[in-house]
Amino acid sequence: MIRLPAFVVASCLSILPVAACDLCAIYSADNTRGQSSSGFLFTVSEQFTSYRTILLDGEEVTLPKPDWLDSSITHLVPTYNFSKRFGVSLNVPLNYRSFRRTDLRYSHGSPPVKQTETGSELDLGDVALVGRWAVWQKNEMDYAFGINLLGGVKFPTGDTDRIEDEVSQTRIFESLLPPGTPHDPLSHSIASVHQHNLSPGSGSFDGIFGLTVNSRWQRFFLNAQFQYYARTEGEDEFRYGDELMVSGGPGGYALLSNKGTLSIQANAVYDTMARDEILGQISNQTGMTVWYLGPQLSFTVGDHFSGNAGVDIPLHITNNGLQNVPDYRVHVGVNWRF
Amino acid sequence: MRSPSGFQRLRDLSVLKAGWILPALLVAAWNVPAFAAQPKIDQIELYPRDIAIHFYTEPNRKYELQYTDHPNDLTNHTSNSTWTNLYVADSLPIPMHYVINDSRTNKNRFYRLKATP
Repeated sequence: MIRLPAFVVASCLSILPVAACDLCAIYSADNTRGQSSSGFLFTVSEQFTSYRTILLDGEEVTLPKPDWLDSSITHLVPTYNFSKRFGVSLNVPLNYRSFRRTDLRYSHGSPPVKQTETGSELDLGDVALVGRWAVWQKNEMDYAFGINLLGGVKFPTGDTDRIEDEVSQTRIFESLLPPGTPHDPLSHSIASVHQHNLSPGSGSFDGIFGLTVNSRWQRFFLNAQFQYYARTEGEDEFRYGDELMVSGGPGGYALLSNKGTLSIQANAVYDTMARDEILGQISNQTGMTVWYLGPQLSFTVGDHFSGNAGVDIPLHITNNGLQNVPDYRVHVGVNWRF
Repeated sequence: MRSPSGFQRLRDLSVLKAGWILPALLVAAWNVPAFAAQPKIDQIELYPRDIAIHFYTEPNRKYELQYTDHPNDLTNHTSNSTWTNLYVADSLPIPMHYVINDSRTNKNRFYRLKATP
């Protein structure tokens, strides 16, 4: 499951001047993030997510030998801003997964075999190219407001062997059913971490759409980000469900100096993923909605270096079927402006 | 989906008695609480080289699909009976539909499904 790193979206936000001395510091921070000047930037960001809680239709269940997944995605993001208004970023994700999953494997002619797979894998994910357009900006001494539009394409560069395997299991199980038997396309599976949860690639060309809105009054700011991922059919008639993410919240500058800045923000995230489609059938073992809340720190040091770090704690989760859901997410990012 | 057309599909014991084909079906249950449904073999399909046994499971119950090739075991519930596990479906929090394949033999073969608790 590939999403834009928070840093890419955050880099489209501009946190603008407050007053006299602060003005210099915040302008400097703005330039350090590369938001108000043309040129080349390079970002490295990391998001770690622990999936060790198992929910059945929103209710926690305890299993004797539970599946688990720790996901770590490192994003390498070179960005070129042609001007203050236009920029383009290439997002190259490296996916590391550590996991355990137990599932049935069906075959023709013999009973299904229960297999437990434990391991860790590092793979290139799906690369995305995302453009930014600053639609409107208003910068005054005491306040500021800006809107950015994002649009891009995610390419099927990640490996899809696990999706192929999952679909092949669906095909085998369906071949064992009498015609017309109602079933879910994942009804052959007893796992709560499915193969598609481990796949670094989707095999599909997907659309990425985003909108960022940021506002500031003196030292305080409020921003919001909307991201929508329109999935298309990918490998072997598997289609991930579309995803909508809305995030943002209030924040303020805690430290301002000529050498750097530090801001803190209360960040809320609404993340909803539609159900996946396999061989033309929607699976009721997929799809979830999560509400997160957590702090996010952003800093700048000097004229070229900036970074951020944050934690997302799930406050409320609803899901379909039996799935592992996030316990927490930690994300950090650093940015160098050339 | 694989169609059983051309082969005999066995749905109940009356068909089993009438047919020449060998596999037979027996549904049995042990220690089933009053609120739990009786375990049931839903369907047996016959194919040229194997058979497919279908059964549904309820959440939080363990199921054992067993077979015997000895008709005496149908009435003999002592330790001398020779029922063998063909498949064990562990207790899960979700209902499942299992399809268990078994190879066809030239002998009688009887199946039963046991659920605990």
